[in-house]
Amino acid sequence: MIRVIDKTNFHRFPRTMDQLFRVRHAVFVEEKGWKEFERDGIFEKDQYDTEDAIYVVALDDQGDAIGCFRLYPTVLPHMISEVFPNMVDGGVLCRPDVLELTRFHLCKPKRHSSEYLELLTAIPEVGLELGLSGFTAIVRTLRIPVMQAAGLSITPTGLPVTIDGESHVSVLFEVSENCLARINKTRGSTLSVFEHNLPRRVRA
Amino acid sequence: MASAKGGHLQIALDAIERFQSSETIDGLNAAVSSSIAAFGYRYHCFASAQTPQRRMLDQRKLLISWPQDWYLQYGQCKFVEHDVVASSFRTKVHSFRWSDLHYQTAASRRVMQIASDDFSMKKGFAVPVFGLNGYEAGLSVAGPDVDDSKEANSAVELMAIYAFNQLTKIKNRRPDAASVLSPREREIMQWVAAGKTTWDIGAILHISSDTVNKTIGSAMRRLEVHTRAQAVSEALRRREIEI
Repeated sequence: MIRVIDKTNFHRFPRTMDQLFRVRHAVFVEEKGWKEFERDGIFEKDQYDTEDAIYVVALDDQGDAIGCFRLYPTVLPHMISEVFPNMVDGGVLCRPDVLELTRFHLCKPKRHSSEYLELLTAIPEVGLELGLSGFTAIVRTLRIPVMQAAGLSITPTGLPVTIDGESHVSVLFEVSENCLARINKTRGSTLSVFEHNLPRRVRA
Repeated sequence: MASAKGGHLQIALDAIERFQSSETIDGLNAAVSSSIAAFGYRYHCFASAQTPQRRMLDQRKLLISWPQDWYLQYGQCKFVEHDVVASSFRTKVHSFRWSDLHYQTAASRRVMQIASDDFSMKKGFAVPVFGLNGYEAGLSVAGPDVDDSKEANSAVELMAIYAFNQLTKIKNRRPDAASVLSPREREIMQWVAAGKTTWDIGAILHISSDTVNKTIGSAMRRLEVHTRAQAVSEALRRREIEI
């Protein structure tokens, strides 16, 4: 199940907010070794965890956070524009209908589960819900086939480069009904991955 | 083969566009050939992962453009057993140059020497592709004189990924015609394609050889062919069976 949290509703989900930053710490600081993001030994947060961020959180059957991805306006200074502009060929995309997608992760035990496909499904679902045309992101190059196999449409916007010994590339995720239909076919369901009672979203 | 950095990305994007408009495996294969030629690569081999049941290249090849003599020698001399490039795909988890590998046995060095001296495969680059079930396939490209700069290699990585994606799409397309074989005919043709004799199939399915032969005969009539080999070929083409 997917829960979308932003400045309009974060006060309703303090437990989820607490959990998601702990899971991020476990995955990015402890497991992946991103020591530069170690602050207090508990949460992983950076300068883009502000009220402008949207968190798309994966919850397990008990309602606990097991992973998420973060969305951030490309019309504001964001990670790609400030840290990785050299990875994008021909200028960083800055549009109100395109958000940057970062920190996509699931905690280790859930990585090859149906929850992984659910979190991937959330990409086009959230995109359609928010009226977006796409998401920009930096991804591990060799993860692209997995996401394509699930049904996502991904276009490279720069050449892959090696970061921390792994090939990474800047991409644009397409948001479309076709894309959502393909992913739903892969996971064998047309039900929304969002929890019920989602408050009406303000269009971006 | 000098190209500006922006040029390498454009070459990759052009290749991706060509792949995405390829509707047949042969068309995709030709598109791969012409795309890698931009970096001086003359040959390519995209093969699915080795399994205990499928070790030989002719059972695993997906997209290939190799000199005919090299392909024959590779198969007859079972080079796959000493090919360090082939065995490195699963373990490397990232792209690699052939020259990055360690060739510890004389046999493995010999395979590379033949490739290089006899077939102009002096330099090579390999990209593993990981899908939903782990390592799925690998692309290996080679040529006499290539651009194997970081940028060119990055471009080839993208080409491998998008070629594999298109290959999957082409294979998943259902044929327009409805199936012509009965389930029993399809089942028996599947065993024929796997190389089983009439006697084997009878033993596996607990039916008489006579019944097997009659069923194959009716399959051949429905597929409008005259030999078993043609029947296998036609059944594969129509996606009635798969290997």
